[in-house]
Amino acid sequence: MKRYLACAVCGLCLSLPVQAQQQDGLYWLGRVVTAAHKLNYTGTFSYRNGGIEETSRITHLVQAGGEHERLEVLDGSPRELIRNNDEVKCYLPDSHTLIIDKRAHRRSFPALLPASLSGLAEYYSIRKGPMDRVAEHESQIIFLESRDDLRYGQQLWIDANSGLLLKISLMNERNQAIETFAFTQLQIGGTIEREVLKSRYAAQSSKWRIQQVHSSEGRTGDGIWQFNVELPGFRKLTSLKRQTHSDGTESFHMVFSDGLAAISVFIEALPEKPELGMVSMGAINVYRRAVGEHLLVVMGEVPQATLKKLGDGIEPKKK
Amino acid sequence: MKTELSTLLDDELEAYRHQSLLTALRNDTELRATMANYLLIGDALRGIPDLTTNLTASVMARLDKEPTLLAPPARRSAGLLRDMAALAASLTGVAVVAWLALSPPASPTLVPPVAQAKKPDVIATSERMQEYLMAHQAYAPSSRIQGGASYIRTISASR
Repeated sequence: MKRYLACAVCGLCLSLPVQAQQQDGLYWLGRVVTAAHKLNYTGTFSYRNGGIEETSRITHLVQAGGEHERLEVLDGSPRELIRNNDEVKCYLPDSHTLIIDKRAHRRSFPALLPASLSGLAEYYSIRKGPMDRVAEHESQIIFLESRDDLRYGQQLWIDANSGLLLKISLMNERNQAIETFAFTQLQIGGTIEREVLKSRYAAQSSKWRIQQVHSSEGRTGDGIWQFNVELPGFRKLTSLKRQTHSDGTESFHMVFSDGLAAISVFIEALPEKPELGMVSMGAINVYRRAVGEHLLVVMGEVPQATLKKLGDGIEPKKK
Repeated sequence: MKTELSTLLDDELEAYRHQSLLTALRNDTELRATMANYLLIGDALRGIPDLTTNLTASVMARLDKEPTLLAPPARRSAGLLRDMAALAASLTGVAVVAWLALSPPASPTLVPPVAQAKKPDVIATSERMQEYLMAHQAYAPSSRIQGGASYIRTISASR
């Protein structure tokens, strides 16, 4: 009994630092989420994945009316993204296209997050790293290492003062960064005029082709489709019906997440010449598969095998 | 076609002819091999040691992911492009070359094995895919952690 007790005590002592590390890491993640939506900031960041490296400017403003954001790509073809709460407008001047995505119901961030954060430690080993300096800000490094091969690891640099995320890398199984966002210049706080958050294409885009998609929450897809494979840690976050205004086409959208990584499943009518198989767009992989009269599009910032596992297990429910 | 390819690599091919050449590249294995050779020569000229074994596939995979890339010529990452311009005047402004030069050789995502094995898809042009990316991003926890910066994934794929 004594020996058992000694072992138990030893075990407790050994596990404490790990536990503490985790708690600490989760605390920092919590700070990040709050900061991302509460702070006003403007800055320049670089985005790099496999084949692409480009610089963008971002401005984030929180007012009584909610969150407003503007993202402008500074390299290559000009592209802009404006977000006003749940409405996102994507301006693509080269192709004279404006994509508008609007969600009917707002899911508040705090309601969604604590649950997913607390479960995180089961699938990621979370630990605090050293301090580092990013864009003139002192930052705390947090490592999130994947415990299996279903998801990627992450490395975060968090501003010690404000909690804002300054840099983040997505790490593959060989611990190589496959995608990195990093602020190169950042100003937190200060006055931001509402004018700054308007797109420079706002006026001319009225003549562009507009693709407007409206999505609303519902359980429509669930009644028809069956998911035979459950990915450990991934829970269904939401199930939506999407409607494209221009051509009236409908599709389903389901989102699965382990709290950090997300997988979207889109189900639409099979087009005449569907493109199938696996492709990747930077760190986001896309798996497309035809099932009867439908096209399944499974995408997410997870390894290809994970998408295939989930995607191959989707079939229409037998009546 | 080979003359056109060479003109393209010299960045002198008129924009309206880009699409037909790209289509030809997509369908013609021999033409792709030729392009691979041209690019290898370009690499050698610039003293880039990392000559990947399956250059054609990797070029095609990347080309197909961003088929609009060649028109207009990309101006991203000006610093590196400028350096390259100095090194190989005949190859400046060619997005494919820029892309290769900018790609970190160790990155495993450059040539996804599946995309390499199969005929690569023209995904970036698909507007539906663009919409889907936006929708995915809206719900992904990454936008909760990173705020709007994570949307760069959406528009980064749209060139």
